[in-house]
Amino acid sequence: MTNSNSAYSVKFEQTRKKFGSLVALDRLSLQIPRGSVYGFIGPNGAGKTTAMRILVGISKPTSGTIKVLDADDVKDVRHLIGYLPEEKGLYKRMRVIDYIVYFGRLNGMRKRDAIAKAKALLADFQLSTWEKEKCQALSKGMGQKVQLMATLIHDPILMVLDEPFSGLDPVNVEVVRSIILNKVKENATVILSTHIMEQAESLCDAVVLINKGQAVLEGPIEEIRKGDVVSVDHDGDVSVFDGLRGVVSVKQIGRAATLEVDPDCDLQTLLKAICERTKVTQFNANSASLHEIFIREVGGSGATPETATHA
Amino acid sequence: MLNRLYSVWLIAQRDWVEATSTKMFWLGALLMPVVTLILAIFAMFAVTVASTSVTVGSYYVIDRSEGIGLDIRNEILRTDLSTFVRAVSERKPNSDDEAILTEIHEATQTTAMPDLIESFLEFLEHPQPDLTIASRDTLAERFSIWWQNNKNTIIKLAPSVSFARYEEILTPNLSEQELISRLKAGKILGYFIIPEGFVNSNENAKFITETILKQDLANWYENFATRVIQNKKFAESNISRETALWLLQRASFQTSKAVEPARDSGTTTSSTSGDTEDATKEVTVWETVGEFAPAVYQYILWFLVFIGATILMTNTVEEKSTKLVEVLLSDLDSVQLMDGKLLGSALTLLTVVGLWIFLISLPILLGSKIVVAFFPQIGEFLQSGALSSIFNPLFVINFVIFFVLGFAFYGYSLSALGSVCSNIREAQMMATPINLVAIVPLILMVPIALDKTGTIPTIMSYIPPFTPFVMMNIVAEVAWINYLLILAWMTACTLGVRWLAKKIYTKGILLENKPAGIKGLVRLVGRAN
Repeated sequence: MTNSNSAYSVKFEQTRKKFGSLVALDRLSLQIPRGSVYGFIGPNGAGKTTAMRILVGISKPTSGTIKVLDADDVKDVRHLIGYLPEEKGLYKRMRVIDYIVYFGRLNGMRKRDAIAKAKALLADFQLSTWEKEKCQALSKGMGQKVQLMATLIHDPILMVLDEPFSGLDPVNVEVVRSIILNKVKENATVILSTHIMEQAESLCDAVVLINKGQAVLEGPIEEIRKGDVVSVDHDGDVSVFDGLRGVVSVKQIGRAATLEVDPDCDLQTLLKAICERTKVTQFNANSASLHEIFIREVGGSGATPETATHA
Repeated sequence: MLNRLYSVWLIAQRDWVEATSTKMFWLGALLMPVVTLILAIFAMFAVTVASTSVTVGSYYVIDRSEGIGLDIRNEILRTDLSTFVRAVSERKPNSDDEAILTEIHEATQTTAMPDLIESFLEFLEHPQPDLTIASRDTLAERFSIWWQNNKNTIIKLAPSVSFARYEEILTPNLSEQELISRLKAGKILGYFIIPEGFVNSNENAKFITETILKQDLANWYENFATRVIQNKKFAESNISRETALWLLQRASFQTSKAVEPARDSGTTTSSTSGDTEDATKEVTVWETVGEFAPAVYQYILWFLVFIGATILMTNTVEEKSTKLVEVLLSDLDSVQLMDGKLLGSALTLLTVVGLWIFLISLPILLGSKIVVAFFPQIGEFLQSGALSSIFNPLFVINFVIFFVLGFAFYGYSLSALGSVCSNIREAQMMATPINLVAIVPLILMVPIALDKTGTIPTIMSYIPPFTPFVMMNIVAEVAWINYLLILAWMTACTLGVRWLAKKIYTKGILLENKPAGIKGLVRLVGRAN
């Protein structure tokens, strides 16, 4: 266990990773609060998996530092971390329970304790009847649950989950969500990467948007989404918004206009100014969805996030 | 430290359990000894069958000389007769024997063998087929009639007589055209042409056959022809047969083996000829087999190291492709993972070796008497002392040491190569140079066994990829100081390979594309983690 009770589970400081001439991670600096769900979002090849591999000690940074659970060397706290990689494989000829127990023992658990914990997890995941089956008999979703159990068996206080929802049906997505939230209730920190913005939005306390190895946006979800879009229903045409302070762009369809505004724009002053020019029937200050933010920030690179329907 | 070792053990244990818990493993492991056993039984059976049922091949002799062909035929007859009479004299007569066999046996007890054979020859050289045994007075006469009518019995009693394999066609004046057509039809093995003046001219006789690779008939006939011509030349030079035989006698050396002299009460005795005999013993076939034990160890070592290292490489590629390795590496160091996998494979191989040793020991465990009853050769083998040569502690300990070092050397190398590949095919391509290098000691196994202290084995014993295999073959001939030096050098090289393999493995296992050849690997080693 760690000695310190620092507020942060993970601290990246100017962390850089190069593969030959390719910069996979470019001076990433961020702090991940203890007991939070933290999302790594970004397009494919952005550097999320590289950051996660560095975080769990599989890969070492080319420069910069990383502190995990207050340890300078991840190896010292490896037994406190649970890692679920993006591509999930199983030892096909191993029995389900043996597979879970094996990873428990690799993380220092005694065999008896590991068996007991594995059985409890199988019950939680409603897979008790599969306990003695070989892994090759499992469906993809079940296999993924077994992988997650192997990640959870030693009760890690930091969980690093690379695309934990990919390939899961909606029921199992909910199972995994509840597992994650329960771990957070136990003051564990969960770091996950996802392409599904709705998942990140509903689950994460904070996110970092990584693009081309750089953190382009980072912070609590509410901060990131804070109202920078205003919808206005009015009687006039689009010209009524001309020259208004704080308005960046306007789109109008019929009587409904969508205004992109500066984050510092005072909405009361804006409403007053519009009312002076036209009759306003409705005024809503919306938060932008994570999906919209993603498109806005990395749209130029041709990347698109997935929607929840893809899950 | 203990935790690290425990993790290595867990990896090894899992791999061992997985490998040995399949039917295929046990089938594969049993296959080699079972196939060897089946081949051995088949060989014994084939030898027995071959000795009892040989297809007789015919030949013809065109004799243009002054009767040399007939002389050769008589010489063959003399030899066959001698073989047969000797066989009858050496066997115990039994109640089921024909009367003539008993008579011959009794005659051999009272008459000198050459005289008896000469008396038989007198009638056999001029056969009278229309007579019956009952009508004849002397044993020689009766025997000559029996000889002509009981070929199968003769072959049974003396399997090495010539007509068990070859039979001369005695039809006179067959034309070459006729003989060639018989040859083409496969009715005869070949025919001989003995030229005119064969004894004194330098002209070669001829042997005409369809199968030029089958020279045994020609060699056999040539031996008799040589003997006949020599006899004739000796006669012309007035040299008696006895003198001739004495002149032709070859020097002969009986190979013997030095044995540890018995030590009694510390007294020293002077050396006598008797002492020399005590200090040596005749070398048996099985002891000669025992001398090749190091080469057999070398072959088994090579086989195990390569099968194991290749399995290790395959597992690495598989775990990489299923991304399982990523989960493992979040719990362990790459070197722990490599060590564990190496140990697991080694345990699997040792299980195979254990099974083989068990199967080999099975005859002894079952009770050698029962086994020997069925396979007398096994009895001879067990009593020969070859077993102690094969299980010589020096070989066994050396085998274990160089199995560990050799397997680690090749196992780490192939694991590292496997780590940079995305599929088995790529891995096999990458491993080709290593496989080519490793096959060298296997090719040179026999030459090294025959000259263990030569320059080639000495140099090869210091080249790490060859060291384990060569050392297995030459260990008994290496001085202790050299042995220790080689051991230290091999250990250092193996640790070096482990370090290098770790560098490649750590980076290679996470690569999506394999690096291009040797250059790519060097870049990978040089690159930071």
